[in-house]
Amino acid sequence: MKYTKLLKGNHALAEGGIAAGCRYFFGYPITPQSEFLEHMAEIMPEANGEFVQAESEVAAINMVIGAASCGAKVMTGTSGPGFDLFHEGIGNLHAHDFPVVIVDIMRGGPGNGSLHPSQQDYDVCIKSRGDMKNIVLAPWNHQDMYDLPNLAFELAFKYRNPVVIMADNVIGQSYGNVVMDDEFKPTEFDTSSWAMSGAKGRERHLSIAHFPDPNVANEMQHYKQGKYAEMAKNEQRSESYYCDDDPEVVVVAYGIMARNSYAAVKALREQGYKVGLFRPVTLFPYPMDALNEATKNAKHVLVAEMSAGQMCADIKGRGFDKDVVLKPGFCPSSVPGTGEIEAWIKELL
Amino acid sequence: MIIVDQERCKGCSICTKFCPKNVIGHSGVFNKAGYDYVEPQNEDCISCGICSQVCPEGAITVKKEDKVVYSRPQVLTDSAFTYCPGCSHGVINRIIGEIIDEMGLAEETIGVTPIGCSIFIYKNFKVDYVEGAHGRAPAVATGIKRVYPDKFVFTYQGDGDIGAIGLGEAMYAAIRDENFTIVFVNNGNYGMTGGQVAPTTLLGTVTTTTPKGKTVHEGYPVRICETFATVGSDNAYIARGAVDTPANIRKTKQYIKKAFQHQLDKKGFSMVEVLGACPTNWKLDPVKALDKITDTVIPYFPLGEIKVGKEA
Ligand SMILES: Cc1ncc(C[n+]2csc(CCOP(=O)(O)OP(=O)(O)O)c2C)c(N)n1
Repeated sequence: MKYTKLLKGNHALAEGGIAAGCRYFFGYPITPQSEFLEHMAEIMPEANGEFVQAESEVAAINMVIGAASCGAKVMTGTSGPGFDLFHEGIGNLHAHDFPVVIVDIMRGGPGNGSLHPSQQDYDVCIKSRGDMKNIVLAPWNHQDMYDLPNLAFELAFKYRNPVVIMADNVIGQSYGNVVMDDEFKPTEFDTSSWAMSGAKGRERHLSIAHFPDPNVANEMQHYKQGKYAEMAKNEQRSESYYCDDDPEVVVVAYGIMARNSYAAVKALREQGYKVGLFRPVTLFPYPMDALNEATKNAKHVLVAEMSAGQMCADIKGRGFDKDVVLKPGFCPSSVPGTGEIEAWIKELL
Repeated sequence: MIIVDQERCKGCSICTKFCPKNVIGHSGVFNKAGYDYVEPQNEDCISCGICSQVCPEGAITVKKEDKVVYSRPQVLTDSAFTYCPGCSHGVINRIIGEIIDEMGLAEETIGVTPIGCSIFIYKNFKVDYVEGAHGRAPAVATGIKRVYPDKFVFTYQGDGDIGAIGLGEAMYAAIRDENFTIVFVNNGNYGMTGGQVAPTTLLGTVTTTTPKGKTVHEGYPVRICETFATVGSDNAYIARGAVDTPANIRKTKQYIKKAFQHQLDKKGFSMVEVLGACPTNWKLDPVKALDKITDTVIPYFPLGEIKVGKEA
């Protein structure tokens, strides 16, 4: 049965994770993701799953590796400083080709950072040492927070790759309506060819995370890049709003910036301006095909992101050849409002 | 009667030290790997099995009449160990292999490697194996055990791995009373990276990073078992053995077996430290390295059961 519930974004993530079949959670408290961890602590036992508050993010991500090695659906979550500590483990997840879903509710700035909203983890969420890439999903509302964990698991198991759900604290810590379906049946994945379970009646499974043999190392690198090319072919996801009639200005934004940009674009449309919005859902693989399509006759492309241009540089690096205006050009300590975004767009009209 | 696998033998001489009848000696012939392998020199063998028990390569089969008394455990792969000659990892791998055979655990086991020379255990065992990052094996084992509470899970770590970079993960496994087993090898240095000072290095010891000898400024040597015994459940099992003599090898095997049984009985955390030698980095021949354990290491790291659960 489908029903609607008012949920905090971080709680919606936990509910969505459980609905997607996640039965293992290992995490460590950090604002602004703690409500995700806390809600998992509350609902995981009811789902007969395991919840562990680890002694650090380093421990948490390695517990995740252990559960993932058994083919289990496992999640963890953190914010910037914790994501820094996750990196070693994420690298190992890549070395092992283990599927996991990781949540990053972003903070701004370096070090312990600020508790202000931010979109400054774009690069660190996508990239992992050794040319590795995480699939990154960017929710923009509470429904996404609930729905994306399932997509994340589908992609994680399909490609045996870490998937990061990268959100901001505005969506994580505010309330919104979520349509839930208590009859939803998540996909079960066949992991019998690689997962640990004890070598009963089969050859032992061995998963190592170092590559001393030069041929194996080369094969691994080719396999990884081939996998990313497959993802780019099959998994680009995005939404375009008001982009069908060749708008003059197309705003490119994700997460909370897409939300506010949508309101700005809608308001300008109501005033008769031909403007549109392109919202990537997958930040990796970046939906370049749809971006090119949505902006093909645009006079101006405005990238609105709360960073000094990480997404902007990414799409440029992927060969986006139109001139791009970046706003606000840095990470302000509060989310630019609709009026501000409208003003940016109007400057271009 | 003994049969030496000539290609496995690394000529470390440890068997020659302990053979009570002076049966074994070097052949003077070099095998393919370049080692002067050992062979029986006379007919005096009493099939006591000591040479097989102390052999770090699992290279000696002992027969009494036609019956095999000691041989390589079934759970071990056929490949030769890649440890240096006389390295204690080999003996410890072998006794763990014997226990897995004796307890019938091969098909139930999931092992987790550390980083260090101790990682090579994954090559030697025909059981499911996951590699952890340096120091993180206990966290990985925690994740596995949460998924499979009924499987047999163990980590095999070095003293740097567990006592320095991974102290937090290991100690929290004890604090949470995780129901898996840690076996770790105290060889007094970072073996794999070339013999740097380790948390367990004794004061005064010259290492590549304490060229003038370890002082308290590099840290007092950590008695990891005693430290861990102060946390976690009263029912945990914590013991320290050594592989310097046949008697201590047998004791160590008993400790590890007890620790494994502790886990199978779902009694919670279990850990066994094994004092071993790193002849290469200690710059001692394998036999003298064992003497060093007896003479200087054991006095600082007393052997025995350090925490025995009330119900154990
Ligand atoms: C994060 C990280 N830091 C450092 C290293 C380098 N490293 C590899 S093995 C090792 C020391 C291992 O020493 P120990 O745990 O005593 O095991 P042993 O080699 O003596 O068996 C170090 C520092 C690494 N692989 N990963």
